[in-house]
Amino acid sequence: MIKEKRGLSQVVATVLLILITVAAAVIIAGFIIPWIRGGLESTECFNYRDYFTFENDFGYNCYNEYNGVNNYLISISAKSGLNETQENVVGFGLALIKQGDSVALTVMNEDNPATKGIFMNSGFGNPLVLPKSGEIRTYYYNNSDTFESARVYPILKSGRKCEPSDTVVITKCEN
Amino acid sequence: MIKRGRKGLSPIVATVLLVSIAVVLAGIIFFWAYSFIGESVTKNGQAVDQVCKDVVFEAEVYSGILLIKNVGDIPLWGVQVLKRGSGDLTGTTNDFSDTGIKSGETAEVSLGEDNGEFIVSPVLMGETETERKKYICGEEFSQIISTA
Repeated sequence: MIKEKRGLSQVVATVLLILITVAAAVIIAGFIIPWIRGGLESTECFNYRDYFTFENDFGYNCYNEYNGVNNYLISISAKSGLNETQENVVGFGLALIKQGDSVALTVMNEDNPATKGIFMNSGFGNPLVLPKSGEIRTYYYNNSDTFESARVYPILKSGRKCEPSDTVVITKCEN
Repeated sequence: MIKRGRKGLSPIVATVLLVSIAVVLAGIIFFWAYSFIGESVTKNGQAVDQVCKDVVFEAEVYSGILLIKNVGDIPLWGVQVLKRGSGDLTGTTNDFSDTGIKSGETAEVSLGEDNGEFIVSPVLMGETETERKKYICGEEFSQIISTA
């Protein structure tokens, strides 16, 4: 007895295989493309890993206590180097930290200090200014809390907030 | 005994597939790693930040004018002049000309009536494959000038 040989024709089988392959490629690409893109974005901050640092030359990065309020003076410097590095930085974040609590401040160029609650030490009414390459700027901030340390992190033109580029221990000012 | 057909990829197809996979993986890793390396900015064939140590210049102040003389072999594109204030160190970057000042040449920067301590840092012009980029040398390569 001869059995009838039934099954998919070669053409249908090939078309099916191609369709399955394309579908699998699309699904895998859906995972891989965001993964690669995420990897590329994470390198955006590489050149800024030590761009802003706390500067101790002026004897600040400390606080004075007055009537139960702590007046903080924080000096921040920007690293010398390529002009375009500086142009790509639009601000910095300053995190003041105490045990179990922290305050995050954002300083963008030309910001109004009154709305930010942080001021230029050179003049409380002056608009906020970032230190340019090689420069140092000192900022004033008051709060009733006593913070133990501070971190600074650059904010790039793309809106990306990088990892902290420096940390400092905050003490009581000596004078 | 059933004779099985020897089916599978031919060695040529298998080789082409392996090479293709290797090339694609290399491409992905390259693009991922490229942003770490970045486009290098060079001057005279060296990384521009390595050239700062070879810059030699003299800086003097005469009645509100900062006189810069390039006594080294590296052309100076300009100088950054920073002034120390109470809690701030701020200033300007002054470009000398389209060519900078070469060995033995001088340039002037007006300080106005400002007095105090100034930090003068050299500014170099580096280049990439496509454009020129300004580079400010760090404080370790600068000179401190005081005016009464």
